[in-house]
Amino acid sequence: MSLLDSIQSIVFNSKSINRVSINSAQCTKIDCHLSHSDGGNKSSAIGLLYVWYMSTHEEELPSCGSNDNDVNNTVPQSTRRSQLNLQDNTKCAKCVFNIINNTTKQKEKEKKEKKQQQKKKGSADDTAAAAAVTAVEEQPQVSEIIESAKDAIGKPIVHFRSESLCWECYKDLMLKKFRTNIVKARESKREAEKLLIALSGGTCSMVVAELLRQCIDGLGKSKMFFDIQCVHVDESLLYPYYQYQETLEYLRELTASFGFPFHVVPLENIYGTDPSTAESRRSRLIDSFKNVSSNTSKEDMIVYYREHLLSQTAHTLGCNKVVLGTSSNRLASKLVASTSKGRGFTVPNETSVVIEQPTNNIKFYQPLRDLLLKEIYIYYRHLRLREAPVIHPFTETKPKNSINTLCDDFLHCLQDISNQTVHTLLRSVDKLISPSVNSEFICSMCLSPLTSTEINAIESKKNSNNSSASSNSNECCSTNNSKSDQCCSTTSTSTTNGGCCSSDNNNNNSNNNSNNNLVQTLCYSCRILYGDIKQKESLAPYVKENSKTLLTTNQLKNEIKDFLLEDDQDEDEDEGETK
Amino acid sequence: MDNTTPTTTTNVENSTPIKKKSGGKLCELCNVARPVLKRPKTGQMICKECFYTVFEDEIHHTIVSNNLFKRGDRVAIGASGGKDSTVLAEVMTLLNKKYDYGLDLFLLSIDEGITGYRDDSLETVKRNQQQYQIPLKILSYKELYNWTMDEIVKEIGLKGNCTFCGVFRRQALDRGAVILKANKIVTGHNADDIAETVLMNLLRGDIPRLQRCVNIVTGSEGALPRSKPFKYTYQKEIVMYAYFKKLDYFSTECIYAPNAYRGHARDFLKDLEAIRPSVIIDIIHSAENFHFREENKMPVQRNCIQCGYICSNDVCMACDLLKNLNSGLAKVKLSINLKRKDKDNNNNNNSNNNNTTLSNQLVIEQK
Ligand SMILES: [Zn+2]
Ligand SMILES: [Zn+2]
Ligand SMILES: [Zn+2]
Ligand SMILES: [Zn+2]
Repeated sequence: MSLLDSIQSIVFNSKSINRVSINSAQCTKIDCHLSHSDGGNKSSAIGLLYVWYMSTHEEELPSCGSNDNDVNNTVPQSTRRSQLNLQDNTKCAKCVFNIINNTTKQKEKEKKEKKQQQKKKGSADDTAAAAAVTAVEEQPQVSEIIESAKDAIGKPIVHFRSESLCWECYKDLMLKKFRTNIVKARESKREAEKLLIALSGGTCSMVVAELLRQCIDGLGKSKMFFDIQCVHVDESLLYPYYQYQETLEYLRELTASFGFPFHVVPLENIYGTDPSTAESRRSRLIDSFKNVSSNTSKEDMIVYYREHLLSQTAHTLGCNKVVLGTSSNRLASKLVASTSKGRGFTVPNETSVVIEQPTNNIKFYQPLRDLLLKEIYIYYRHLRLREAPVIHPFTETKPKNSINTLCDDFLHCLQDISNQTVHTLLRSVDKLISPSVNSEFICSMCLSPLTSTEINAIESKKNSNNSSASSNSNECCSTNNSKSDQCCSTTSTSTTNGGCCSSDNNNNNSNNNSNNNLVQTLCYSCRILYGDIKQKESLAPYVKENSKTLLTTNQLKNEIKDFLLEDDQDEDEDEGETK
Repeated sequence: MDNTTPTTTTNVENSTPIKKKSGGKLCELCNVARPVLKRPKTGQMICKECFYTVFEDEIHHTIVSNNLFKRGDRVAIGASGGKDSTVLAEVMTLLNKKYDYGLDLFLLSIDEGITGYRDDSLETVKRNQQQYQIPLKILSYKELYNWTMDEIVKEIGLKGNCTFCGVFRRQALDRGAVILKANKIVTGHNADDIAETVLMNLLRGDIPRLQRCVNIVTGSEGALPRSKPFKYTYQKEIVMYAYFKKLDYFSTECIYAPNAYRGHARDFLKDLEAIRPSVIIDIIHSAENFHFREENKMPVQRNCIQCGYICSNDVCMACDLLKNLNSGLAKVKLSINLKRKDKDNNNNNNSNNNNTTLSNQLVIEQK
């Protein structure tokens, strides 16, 4: 039975995953190409296949793709080829490196002592000769050293960015990488920071929980002080999946074993938390998503709603940080997807380790940013935690379902062609920044900062229904502004004075008018999303509240602006950068 | 809920004109004529005349709002005989008359010396010249470099030939424009091309190009300014325009273009567009709103010590390639050159059109 056959049989015989398709060309490297769904269930399925694969093919090392720009490589590049015989995959490169390093350090010590002795003796010729001798001597010694320390060198389990590593060294490395990113985000070393881990039920977020536990336990250098809670946003109402109960049960047990409190927040809580209205909220949520015409917008709305709930939960629990398990693959895909959705202004922030949220103090962390999905699975498997149930949705999704799934699929294919793809994309976005032009002005839906053009539009807002109907906003490219102005002038019934404009304009109760006001406080990309919503009333209340607050603040500011002394540097988009 | 087909995806085939009249509906813009097409950009059902109007007006608007031209400018239109440049020649002549830009227009064609491809398309350009009554200048690689593309391919094979072609063409356009005493160049790069280039540059991590590729005018320092009036124009609409106006254009891909990697990006963009038609403009909007870290400074410009062309090294890319070609080293040096170029991103020649970006693609393929 070929590898392909065996994988297929295991996949198709197991009821929980039947949607896996495998490209035969990828089989040697065991790259399972899954049809699409959200991160959690995809990762679990790949993880499962991986587990199976490892149990049958122990001798072949999984390789995750090389990255020469990785500063945290275990073995310094200069010494890699000269000292180590890396062709052979039977020895852990890091172990070998450590041993050689230790012995050479000892040697150098001895040499120094020798030299000093020789200096005492005199003759320069002798030292030169001695050096030549040691140089000749050293060559065979490397293999000798390795041979003598055989027992201390681990058996490699993974080919990590051009080196074979044993489990012990791999474990250390993962923790080291994770700690670097967590430290980046930490504000105080002494006080126990309150963190909220967002658990999706997928592999990545569970690895985050495990790594944080290790940090607290003081594995790898010093103990870190954190006060950790976990939350799972339950989206099963919109995307139901098999083994729902099992997943929740698993998360509950896992967090309990770590000693982390666990909370479940259903997505319908976006409409409020009153227990008596839970049922009506559920139907309201379902209805509201029926009214969204594109799958891309549906998925994006869920993400924004989820983020809102996470912030809210963090706030109530007194946490000021939310930790997400986003891997580099996911972030690279997000970069492409966000760019395609017109989110160029905010995408650098969205894809960084620390996501700055301008309005509230709650920050989102993505400490797994430097790790590929595969690296995370391999780690997860070797942790030998209790097997997690595979999340598998009722309905199948195809790559062409939405912009998000298409980007996932595209990057997966490219990563197969060149395993540098994900790293290169993240390197690209590293060169970009998201200037928060004026942090008061944020999109009411996705909470990302607005561009200076958008801010100017709000500030110079006149009395009329300024932007033409939302259906039109899609095509409005930056040059079409004058055109949309034209439409306004023909449609608007009331045109008013510019300058210091009135206070009676906003809440005109006219539904259309308030909708138009809302559109103004959305970013470019959310306007497209908004255009896809047929029933604007079904939108989550927080969006309307944000919009109202923003407009009211702006209006108040307008009224008192003549009396404010120092303010407003919103003109200079390029200079108003955060860093 | 996932089974419902999103309405946006039904727009997939919207480039093709509607065959049956839709129940006595009228054009959404003029409300008079019968609609014959659905606009790819907006999905509106409109009549032929209204399509011409909105199409031309948008380009006019792009030209005016970006101050692309001044009265009295001598503008060379890069004409390949393909659909983009043919429509560009048509629209430029039309707008120049209609809005009285006061421009002197020229057609400028580069003959790479590719048998069966360029010689045929040049015939198209010659017919265009007759039609629009604009002076035409054809400049060949043979004249400029003493090599045709056919000869280059014979010498170095099919790997890396697009590098030569791209580097040579960029210079050739500039030189041709100088011969014509033109002070500006316009090219037919459309919104699809630009969106694709944005994606390609992201995927390659080519930050300097990513910075430049959405500029509507490039090469303002020292070299002739080059602009793209079609920056916001969808390729599908250009094809439609050419189709309805029965324009004479040549539609064959270059026989030497392998383009594997760019092909992926192109297919991907097509798929994205099928899901959400505005995606092309959205990508351009994203790239316009990218903010780059300070350290990404452009390299200093100087002039090539051999030919005087503006470049960032002592010797320009074209002269360098040519030197290797003439000494028979091209095959060996090509890969080294490309790698070095990719590394320090110094290849700061003043353009970022399709052809230049092709060269870096090779680096990826070699990896
Ligand atoms: Zn080891
Ligand atoms: Zn937004
Ligand atoms: Zn009409
Ligand atoms: Zn030169």
